[in-house]
Amino acid sequence: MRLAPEAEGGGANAPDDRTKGQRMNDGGGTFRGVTKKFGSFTAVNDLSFEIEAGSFVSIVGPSGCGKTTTLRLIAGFEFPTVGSVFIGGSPVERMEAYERPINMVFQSYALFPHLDVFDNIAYGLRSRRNRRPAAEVKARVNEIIGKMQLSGKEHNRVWELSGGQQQRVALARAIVNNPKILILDEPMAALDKKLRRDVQFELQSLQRELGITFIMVTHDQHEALSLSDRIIVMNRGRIEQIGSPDELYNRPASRFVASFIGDFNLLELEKPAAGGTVDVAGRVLAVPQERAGEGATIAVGFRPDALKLSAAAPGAGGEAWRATITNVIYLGDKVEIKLDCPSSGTLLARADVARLAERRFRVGDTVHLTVEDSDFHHFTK
Amino acid sequence: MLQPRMARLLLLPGYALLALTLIGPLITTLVISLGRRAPSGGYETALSIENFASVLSRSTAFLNTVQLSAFGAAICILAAIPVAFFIAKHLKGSVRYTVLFLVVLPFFTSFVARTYAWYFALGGRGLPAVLEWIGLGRFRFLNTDFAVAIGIIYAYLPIAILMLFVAFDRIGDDLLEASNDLGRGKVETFFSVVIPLAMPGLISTYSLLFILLSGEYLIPMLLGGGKVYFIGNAIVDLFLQSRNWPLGSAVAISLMSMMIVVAFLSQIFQRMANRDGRIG
Ligand SMILES: Nc1ncnc2c1ncn2[C@@H]1O[C@H](COP(=O)(O)OP(=O)(O)O)[C@@H](O)[C@H]1O
Ligand SMILES: [Mg+2]
Repeated sequence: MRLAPEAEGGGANAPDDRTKGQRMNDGGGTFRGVTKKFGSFTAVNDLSFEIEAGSFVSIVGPSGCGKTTTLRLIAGFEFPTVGSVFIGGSPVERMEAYERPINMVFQSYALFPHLDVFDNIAYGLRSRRNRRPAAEVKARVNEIIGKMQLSGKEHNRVWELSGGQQQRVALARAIVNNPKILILDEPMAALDKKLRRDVQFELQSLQRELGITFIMVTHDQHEALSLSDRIIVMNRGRIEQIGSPDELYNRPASRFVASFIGDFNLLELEKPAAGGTVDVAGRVLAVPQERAGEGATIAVGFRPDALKLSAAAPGAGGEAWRATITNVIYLGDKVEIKLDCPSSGTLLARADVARLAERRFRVGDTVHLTVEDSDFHHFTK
Repeated sequence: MLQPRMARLLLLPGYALLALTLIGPLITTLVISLGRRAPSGGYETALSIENFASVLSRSTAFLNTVQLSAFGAAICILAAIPVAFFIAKHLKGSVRYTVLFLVVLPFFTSFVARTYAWYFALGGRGLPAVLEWIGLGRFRFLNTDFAVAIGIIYAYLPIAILMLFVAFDRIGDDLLEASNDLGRGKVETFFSVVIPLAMPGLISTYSLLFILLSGEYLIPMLLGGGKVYFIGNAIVDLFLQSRNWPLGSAVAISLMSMMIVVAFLSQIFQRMANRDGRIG
């Protein structure tokens, strides 16, 4: 039984670790200058991006930044005020949701309460547009039911199921139609924490296996980092940055991205530094080459892992600040230390417990701080 | 929180009023229906079910009532569905409540006055005169089933719209979108999601309309002109013209029994639909 979309080719290159995904795939998506207004309110502002066929893309951002609206523009529940949306190279702005080769897992799951599990999953295959013969419907639905570990629940009412099972029905109901793109709006939001981790792994495996393009909205940046090939960071209706998890974490393009993806110690400069150097609380840093053309540096910062603590003032080579420890939090293998630094405010340090073994930091201790020049990120926006 | 005893005490006036205005007359009617017509009319003490046997002599009125109520309720629902659905699913915010207000606006004038308005509109100098002037021929509307149907639909449509609005409003937009997303257009979605989920509401609306209509008296009298004869009209005649109170009471009790049966069936059907839909 084929689960991958039937169409072949389409130009986009599937990443090599996708075995099944190779025979597709025109399931890429493109936004070109898409703006969506509700009345005078701009929910999505001039979005342009490309989504590679067969990839797992996450859209992250704070609540109300336009994530759901972006998904709805792809699904066909909203239409752009300005701009175009392409799926597999063809424009779809004029296509209604029911005409698009896309399926969606709703945040609420939106399962049909008057239908049992089997009929919910079979719903798309029984539509007038995409009707399949009864025998095929039965075979395909039963296969998905097995795959999603819903065997034995075929004739249960959907509201009798647990949250995790409901979510699997919602997934099954979408992927049974072989969509080119599967979109998921905060699929984990209704699950409890323990279950979430398992479901994340399952979702990742499912995507690899089907080779379908997944576009997932989440406000959980850890989820985005661990699942996605690429992440689109949105803020106030605009794209802040698009990149791989590694790029976003290690080369954040803006203060917003740095703080939103992972923990970050941000030091705002009192006045923008236009020259080749930046003065941070008495410490002079050279502006890195790749930032040189972007304008004045307005802030710098570093990840908690880059911050080193020592009881004695460091020797030559490291500039030091002093700070007082306000919290020490053990996280099993790691320890997080919160510091109050007179020159930079509150800072966060994170280190392996093993590395700190010989040195026990206590709340109230005064320590010296060290950060390598190369660990500083420079921001122009 | 009120003490349970205190709460019960506060309910007493309500119960007393209910007993006085509902239970009392009901028992009176029941007693009269088992009595006998006094030679000069009115009521004479007796104990027989003879009157209930004679109820069948009014079977034309019963048939008329059931037919026109069943038909009128169906037409009301069919006419109300698109309006209620549009208000519930396509209008937002203040527009939506303005439109709902307009729907109930007719209730602000007297029911009698509104029915008289139709009496004149359908009467000889109304619509028939207009149609004849245009040259479409001679028509008679007043005192026909058609006139009664028009009157009924006009009077009861707002109730149907309000009740169906509630039923449709409860269906989440996400379900309609999910259906869309799964390849079904608006019409197909309407029949495969909206109607099944609104079924309990459709059933309760239908039965309420049926019950209200079968108790109707004014519309058949004014617009049916004695030719379209409802049970309500039969009861009035029995009491006021033939002064046969016992038979009138027996007919009234029979009508009420029929309504109770309808209400009971409606409950059963709603519960069956509910089991499938969970949405009331
Ligand atoms: N149909 C709508 N009408 C008016 N405003 C809307 C509508 N849909 C969304 N919005 C507004 O657009 C903004 C973005 O919404 P949304 O895309 O749901 O954000 P997110 O999913 O990132 O939390 C919000 O401020 C929201 O209030
Ligand atoms: Mg959202």
